Amino acid sequence: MPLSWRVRINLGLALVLALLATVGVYSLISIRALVDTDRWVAQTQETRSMVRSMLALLTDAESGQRAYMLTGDTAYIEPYIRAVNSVEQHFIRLETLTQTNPTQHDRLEKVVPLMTTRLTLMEEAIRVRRHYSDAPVAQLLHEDRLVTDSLRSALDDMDHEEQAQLTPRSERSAAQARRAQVLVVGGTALAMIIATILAGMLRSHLERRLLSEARYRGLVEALAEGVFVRDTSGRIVECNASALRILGVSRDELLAMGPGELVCFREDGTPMPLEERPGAVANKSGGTRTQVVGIRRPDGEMRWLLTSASPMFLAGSKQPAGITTSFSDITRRREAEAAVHDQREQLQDFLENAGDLILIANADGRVLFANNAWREALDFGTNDEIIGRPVTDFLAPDCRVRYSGQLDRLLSGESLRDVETTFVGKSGRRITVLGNTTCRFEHGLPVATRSIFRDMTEVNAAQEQLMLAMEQASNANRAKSDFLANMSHELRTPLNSVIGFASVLLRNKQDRFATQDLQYLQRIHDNGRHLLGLINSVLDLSKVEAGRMELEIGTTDLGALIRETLGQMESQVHGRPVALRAIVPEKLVPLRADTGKLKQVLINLVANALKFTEQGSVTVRVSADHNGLPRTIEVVDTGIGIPLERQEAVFEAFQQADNSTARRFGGSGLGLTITRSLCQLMGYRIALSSTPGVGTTFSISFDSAQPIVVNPVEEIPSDQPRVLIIDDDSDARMLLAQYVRDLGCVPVVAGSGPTGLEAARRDPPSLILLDILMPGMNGFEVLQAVRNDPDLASVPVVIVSVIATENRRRAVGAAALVNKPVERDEIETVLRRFVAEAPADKSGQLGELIRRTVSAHV
Amino acid sequence: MNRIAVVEDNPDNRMLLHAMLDDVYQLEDYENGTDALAGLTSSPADLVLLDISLPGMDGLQVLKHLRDRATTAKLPVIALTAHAMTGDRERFLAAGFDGYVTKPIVSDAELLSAIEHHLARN
Repeated sequence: MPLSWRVRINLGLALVLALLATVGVYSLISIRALVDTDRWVAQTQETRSMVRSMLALLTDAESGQRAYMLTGDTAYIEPYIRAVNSVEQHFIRLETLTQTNPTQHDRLEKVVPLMTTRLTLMEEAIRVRRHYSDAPVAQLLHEDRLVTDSLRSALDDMDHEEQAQLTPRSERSAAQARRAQVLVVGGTALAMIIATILAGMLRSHLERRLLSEARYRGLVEALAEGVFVRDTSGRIVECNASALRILGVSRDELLAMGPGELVCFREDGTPMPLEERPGAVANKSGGTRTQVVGIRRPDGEMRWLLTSASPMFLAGSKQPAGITTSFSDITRRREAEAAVHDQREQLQDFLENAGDLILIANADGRVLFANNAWREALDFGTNDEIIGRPVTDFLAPDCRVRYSGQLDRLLSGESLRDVETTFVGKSGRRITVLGNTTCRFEHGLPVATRSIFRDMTEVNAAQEQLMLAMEQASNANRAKSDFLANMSHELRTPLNSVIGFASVLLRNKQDRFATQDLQYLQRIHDNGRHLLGLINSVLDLSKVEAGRMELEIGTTDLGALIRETLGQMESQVHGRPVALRAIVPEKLVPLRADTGKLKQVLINLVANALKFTEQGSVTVRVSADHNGLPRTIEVVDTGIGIPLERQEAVFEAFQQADNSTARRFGGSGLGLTITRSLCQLMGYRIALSSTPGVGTTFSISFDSAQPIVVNPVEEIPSDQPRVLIIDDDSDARMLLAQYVRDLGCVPVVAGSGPTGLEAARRDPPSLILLDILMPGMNGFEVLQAVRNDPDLASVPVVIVSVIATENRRRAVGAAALVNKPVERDEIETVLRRFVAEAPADKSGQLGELIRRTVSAHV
Repeated sequence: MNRIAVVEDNPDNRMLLHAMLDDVYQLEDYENGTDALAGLTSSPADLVLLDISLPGMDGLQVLKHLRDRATTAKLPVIALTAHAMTGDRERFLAAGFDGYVTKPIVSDAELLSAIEHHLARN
């Protein structure tokens, strides 16, 4: 196991210290030894010098004694006395110096008596000489020689002994000094090396520590999470930039904050007491504490933080050294979550309260959710009875078999559209629904099938009723037609005899009758013909009003048509001074219209004008716009005129301006009624103006937005969405057209189903507003035709009618329903819903609104 | 004088036709289709005025029989009928009638011109 840096440093330090201690101790011992040796050498030297000094003193004493002896001169006694006086001191000193050396001490013990003897002998000699000036000096001296030699020899021995001891001791001392030197130098060097290594280790460790700290600091600073550290007293001692950003304080402010100075809130918004805060909890428990904490920043902003606090331990310590708190700002997330939650609730609410039946099942076909409408339809009160049960439990037996196949298709990613299914309610009631089902996938695995059903039970019933009603109407219509045909036949048969025989008599047998009788015959014939005309007119009118008259739209050359008609009617002028003429603009574009019926209208109007004009003129006048697009056809006469109060009545059946006129001018009284009906059928407006005595003008106007009036060369350019209005009532058409124009769309109007369909096929509109009650082809039939036309099938159709109900609308598949009388707002609503590319609107933001609304719908 | 077969169940109408046409043609009356088909076999006519609403076999069926027989296949047959609703004319012409005259006959000139037209064409 590698040793930790701490142990290594400690071991190194211990080694260095041990080395230094060793060096020191050894040095001390060596120094002591050296000092000992030194002292010893000095003692030896002193001993030797004492010995030598003794020898010198002895020599001095002998020389002085000898000289005195020879000369008797006392002057020579002086050195002798000095020597004798010093000997005592020398002996005392040597005694001290040789205490540690028994050998020398023994020698000294021998020297002392010898010296004493010698000195005594010398003193004796001197005393002798002094007293005996002729004493045998030589003898005396000679006697002394023996003692002197012994003494010298003993002193020399001592000297030699000291000399002999000095050499090895000096050598030993030198060797010890060398060893001490080596040890001190080596030990110190070793200690220095180790210390250097230790210093290197410490430095690299410190560098690593610094780098690591810098990295940690960088790491912490780079965190998007806020982090701060509290010391044991609860004071914040360290923090990162994110903490400051999130808390909205400066570093100094944060570090100056005492514990509890940050105001915290619980998730419910109430203040959070200190002991509840994550730091406090973590400190107490010793573990990590995570919770959501709200804080109010100094700038007043409320922030929600997901906070996590943990106690921080130093290695090996059980006592926390502080608390680390990290937190991320989840304010946005909380808001988003709240929004999602709201949305989810709203959606749940919508789902729950939707009128349609909504059923969600898992991939195994078990119910996860059923909304209120579904439960109600199947008589289930609560979800408990439904959730978790297989969907097949609620299906009719015949649907159960199909269900597994449908589920397989769904799970393979297919969506089921318009699938009819029958559920069986709790009470056994069968509910037939029509719905769409899709499967939701997560990570490629099916999670849930989601179905939206429409309860078709009522709709189907309504549809059946409607079909029945239409069938009945159709039968009634057929019965009416049969009746009319029979009536026609039965009326004509007797008339055949009346008119026929009268005409035979009038032609072949004139000569047999008196003039008066012939006149009677003529009346029979004329009235028979009048009756025939009446029958024909009544039949025509019945057909128009029963909607059995159909338009055959073609291209009509209006000028040619008028000229042809007038040509045929010239005979009816009957020689009166009445000019029959046509005024037609040179430039006139062809009109798309039912030529035959337009001609019938012209014949009726011209015949009517001729009938009431005794003299003057009958003029057919066409006016057109600058493009040559026909606007009106007027039939102007200079006849008797119609009083104002009768002007409306002339269009009513069997009404003439004056009851007497019928007698005077003849006619069925149905011509103008039929004319107006035909005009309405074709989508034209007919009006009259008249001044009694001056004349009458009938005017047929082609609406400006009349689809039948088209310019085949140049279409009216428009990038605005077009709305087709199909209504047989010209007033209703005009009103709807006005609304549509106001809302920024282009109205295209048609007075009947076939013309409307033709206009739609020519240029499919964005929306169709469709009346139901129309002669000929009714609205339902038009809608059917629109749906069957692949080019038009996608065009939304809005029913505008007095008779439509929501059930009928659904049954026939119309997009929406507007009841008559029509309000502008309702038209605006349907345009907003269904017109995709609404342009800039006259009333401001509507176009944009429409676009937005529509895109929201899509 | 051309022979015209009149197939008409209404005696008034037969009388009227005689009044109108006796001066010009030799008329042979039949009161119903069966008689007419039998009579036309034994005494052929140049043209037939055929009513539609006849007892028993109606005019359309009579026409069909006439057209099915080789001897009468090309015989001009004019429908003389009170069926005068819109579309009736086209219906009868499509069924194979050569002409169509509505009752009431407003003037004998109309009938005469129709008869003459088809006689001349044959």
